[in-house]
Amino acid sequence: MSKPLILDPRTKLGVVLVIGFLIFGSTVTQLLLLFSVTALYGFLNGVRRSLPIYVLILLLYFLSDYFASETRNILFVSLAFFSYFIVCFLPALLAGEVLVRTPAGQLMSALTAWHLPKTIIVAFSVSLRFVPIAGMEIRSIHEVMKQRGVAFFSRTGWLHPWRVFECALVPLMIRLLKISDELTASAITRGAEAPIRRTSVHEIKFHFCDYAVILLLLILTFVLLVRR
Amino acid sequence: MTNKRADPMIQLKNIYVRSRQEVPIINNFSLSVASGELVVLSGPSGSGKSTIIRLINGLAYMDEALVIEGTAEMNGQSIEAMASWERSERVGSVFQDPRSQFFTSVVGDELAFYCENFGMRPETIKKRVHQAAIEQKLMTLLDHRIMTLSSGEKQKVAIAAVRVARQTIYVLDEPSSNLNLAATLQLADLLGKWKAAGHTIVLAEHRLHYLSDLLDRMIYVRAGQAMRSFSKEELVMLPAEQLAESGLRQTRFIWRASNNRRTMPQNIHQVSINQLSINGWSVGETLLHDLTFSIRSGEVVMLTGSNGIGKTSLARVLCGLSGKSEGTIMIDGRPVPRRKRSQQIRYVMQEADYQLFGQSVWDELFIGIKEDDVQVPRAQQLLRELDLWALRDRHPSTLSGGEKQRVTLAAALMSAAPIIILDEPTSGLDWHSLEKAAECLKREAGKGRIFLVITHDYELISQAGTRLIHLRDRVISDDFLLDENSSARVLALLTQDEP
Repeated sequence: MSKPLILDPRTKLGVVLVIGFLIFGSTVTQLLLLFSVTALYGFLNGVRRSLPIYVLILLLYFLSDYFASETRNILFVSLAFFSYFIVCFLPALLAGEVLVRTPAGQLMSALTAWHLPKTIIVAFSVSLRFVPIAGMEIRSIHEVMKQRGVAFFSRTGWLHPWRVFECALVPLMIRLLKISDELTASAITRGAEAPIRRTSVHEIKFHFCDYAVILLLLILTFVLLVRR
Repeated sequence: MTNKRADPMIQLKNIYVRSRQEVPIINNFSLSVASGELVVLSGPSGSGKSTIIRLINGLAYMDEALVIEGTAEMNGQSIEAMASWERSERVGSVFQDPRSQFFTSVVGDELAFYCENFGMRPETIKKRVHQAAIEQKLMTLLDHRIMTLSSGEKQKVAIAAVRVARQTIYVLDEPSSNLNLAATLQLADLLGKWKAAGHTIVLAEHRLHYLSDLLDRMIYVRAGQAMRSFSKEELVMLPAEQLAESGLRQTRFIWRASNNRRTMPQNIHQVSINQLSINGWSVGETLLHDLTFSIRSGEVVMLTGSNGIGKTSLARVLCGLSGKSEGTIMIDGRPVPRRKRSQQIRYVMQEADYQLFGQSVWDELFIGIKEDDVQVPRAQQLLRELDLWALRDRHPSTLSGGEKQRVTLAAALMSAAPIIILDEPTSGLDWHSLEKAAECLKREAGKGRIFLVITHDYELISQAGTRLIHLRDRVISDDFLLDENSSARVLALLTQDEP
């Protein structure tokens, strides 16, 4: 179980779209089924480190739901209410994480195979690249905040949460603006706007596992829709 | 082909650039660069060097916030009239910060990006990528993730990703600011090869030492104007004092560390590190082991070593941000546990943008500190000493690089921490900013603070250092006091190849 599956990025994108569609109107049992399927899918695709966090959120929901129905305590009820929303998104988040992990070069090639315009392709892959970049920026900013005594889990953090929020947001905005500026400049000076259809060094082709995943996805969709 | 040399490759005539708010950026700037020439634009920060670079590669024309007058031509064609992809076929652009130029996460994909955009056939792309990778010695790294590379390697990837286009004109905006001396010398080597191949090169750069043998002309830019043009011979003849007066960095290495050591200050602190080991990200990986040294008040210790050796990891352990270590850290004779260390040891990161949270410079100094009768006069004095008093009501994000860097320094000095660690404080700074930072370090060291400065900037070491600790092969390989005879030894350590 060491090597992740190699899927065509188009399959991964399809999984995100279909799972996102299926979430709506699902009962809790169906959500649980969706979650187990995407968890397995995520595991096979190399999402391993964050998997326990997803399971933990799920457990939190069931626990608070159980306590809510037993005690009718407002705290548990509201906790159950909010965690339900997060649980709804878990399958889509898992499928999304698989997509985000795709090297951007492969993703762009796959989208080219779909005959999408170049501007959309470049914009889409850059916005996916932004997620991990923003995460790194937030971590660096929070480290500085810790040193200056304005971290989220410090005395100031508990007393003046808005102040701390502002401290994190201002440098983050400035950094992201700068990064997007520089990324755009680097794209334009390397011909990203050329009105020529992109080619690719990657050979984009559906393999056996792509067909298997698509088939399973169709069966899942069929079962869930029939049951409604 | 012979008469082509006479025609200028790049011709800027009476260029005026101002922002929509009528702030002038470039004032009547003219420049003509012949084919095969290497021209360096230098001058204080904010003088408009980057804007001129962006005029040549056409980015300025795409900026809605700028109003541009005058003619800019490349090979006789108006740059403004060209489409962005036509420009990118002719001009290769290398930017300052290689971290935020990458689209893809793998080196090979990044090199292929240009060719893919132009719809080249896969075989052609492979050939071009291969050639660019050989030129930049990246063959072994083609399938590596870009995130895992050192700054020097990232810069090489950025250059190779441009180079696949095989342009004949190259513009570079402060390409050396994130490089150590060894990598900078490799860059000089590359520029020499490009020049020999007949390429036209324009650089905006503060560091002049690596260019003084290569350049044909240096244009001194100040307040958006070309103040003076120097030939190679004229530039080398310029005395160091005149360079410093113009805000220019040195053209060759001049050593002045002899007068950095002061008499011992009154209140004495001492930090002692005993048998400290720094662990890496993976289990069982040791970055540095058995570090033992102690620093006393009044010392400005320069910490050097190649990229990725663990200087930043050491700093993060010392200030308590990271717990991946074994060994003891004592301050004034008492061991200090990790949680308490952030009050005693302050770490100032390289990137100033991460560290400025306040609404104004004044506000910045009082984050996490009470505005009372003791602290207010201290802040006033600090701002005056650091030349920031006039800027105290400005929003930090509107300041220049050097000013931002001084604000982060001032914020660190406001804390009571006796030990301050600075990470690459002078990357991308002009001479004036570097000199001011160095003065501040010496003055504060004289008052009793301890400074540990991670750097590879020879000029900063020469201006402010009293002692140098060099890391190599996971241990301290050199630890010595800097005096008038240390120049050769420091240069040898800085130019050491990466292991």
